[in-house]
Amino acid sequence: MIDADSPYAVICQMVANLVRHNDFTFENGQVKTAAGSVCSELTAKLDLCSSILQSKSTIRLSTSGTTGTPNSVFHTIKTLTRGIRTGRHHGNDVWALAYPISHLSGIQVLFQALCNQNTMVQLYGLPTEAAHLAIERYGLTHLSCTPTFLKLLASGAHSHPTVRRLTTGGECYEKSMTKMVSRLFPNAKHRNIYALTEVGNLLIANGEEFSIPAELRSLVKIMNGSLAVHQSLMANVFKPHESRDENESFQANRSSHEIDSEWYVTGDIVEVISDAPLTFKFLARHDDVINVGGYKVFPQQVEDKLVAFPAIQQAAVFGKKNSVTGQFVVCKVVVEPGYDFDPVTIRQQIAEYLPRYAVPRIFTVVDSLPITSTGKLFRRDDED
Amino acid sequence: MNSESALEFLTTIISEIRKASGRKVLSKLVPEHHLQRDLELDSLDLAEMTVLIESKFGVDVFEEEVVTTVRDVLKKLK
Repeated sequence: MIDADSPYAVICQMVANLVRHNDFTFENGQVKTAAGSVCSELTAKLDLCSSILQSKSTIRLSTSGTTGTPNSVFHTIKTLTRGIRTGRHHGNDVWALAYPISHLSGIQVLFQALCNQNTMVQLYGLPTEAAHLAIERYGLTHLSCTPTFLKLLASGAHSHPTVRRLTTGGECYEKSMTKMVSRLFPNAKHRNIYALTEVGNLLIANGEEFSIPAELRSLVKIMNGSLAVHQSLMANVFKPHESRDENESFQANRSSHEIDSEWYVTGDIVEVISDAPLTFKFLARHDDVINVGGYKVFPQQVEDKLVAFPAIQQAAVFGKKNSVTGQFVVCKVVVEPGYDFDPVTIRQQIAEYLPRYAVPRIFTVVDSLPITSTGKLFRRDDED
Repeated sequence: MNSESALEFLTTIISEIRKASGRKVLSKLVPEHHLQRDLELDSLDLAEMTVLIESKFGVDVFEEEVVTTVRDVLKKLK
């Protein structure tokens, strides 16, 4: 078994950093130069790629643990590479690594790039301007990232026509982001993915609305407003008998709300748009929902309204505990340079679009918003 | 913190809370003012007020009982 953070995984990442070698050919398992001589270094790297992809090793991933202790999930190389597209027309793809390599999405990008011998550009953790420079310098063609990552990129006036494919996931994608995406990546086809570390990629949408495909209709349902998936979909969670103790602990660590006999309740709150076929959009993680005296507030809906004001570049909305209403809505904002920020005016104006209980009561101006290790917006009070 | 400066602080924050929802700014606050009846503070306003007071004085005025007047609040801050 290899760990996603192990040196072995780091080697995988290094191999994926192979630049495009247009002067080389691949024959009989060997890389040859234009003159016909064998390039042993590249051949060794290709051998390593091949070994990894044929490996029967398992990779242990941790769930994000936003609801408590992170769980261990076991994947095989086979299940992790299942959705990968290979072929000649993928040979010149240039992938961004915009997730940590220990995260399911990061590993999927790694294998996608690895299988096609693509250049992979590390964007995760880079300051916004440096990320833009890297995208331009390497002529990035494929980007898979969280909506939060996109919003950070969108803070300047950049546009990247080289990007052909954009995949978002990990957080709610709001329709209001479409304009921003078109400006940032005018030539990119966009798809929005719903994935679980325990399952892998599950649902694909063009925007914010997901429909359940026919083959999944008996395996995905809504329970108490939250998306639930049938345990059989989690069959690719590998349980190696040599790690039985560890695996039992993995099951024991799950909180009771997650398991309802044969259904796994994800904790992702949805709004149903139609019943046949079941179509819905994601509203929030259940632990991000703010309960104001019994009224539920979905942070992203408030954030969307906030960033529509020219003075607000980015916003994070979360609940503040108090002994009167349990929680009320507060926010952190990044102010657009050159604009005067007046929270009283914003409060008065935003009240035209939101119910009173959803209007943020306290605004804290920050230089940048806190981001989780998986690239998602961190919506918590500093004092909690 | 003496009661005069506590009253001054309360006047400021209650004025700001009222202003943010388009109500008239207070000219003066007196201990006899009823928070809901006279100052028109609803539960959301009271929640905001209690958090602002707590961040300044470290006291949650609604923690043990419901306070109804400005005097009740000032007592908690002594």
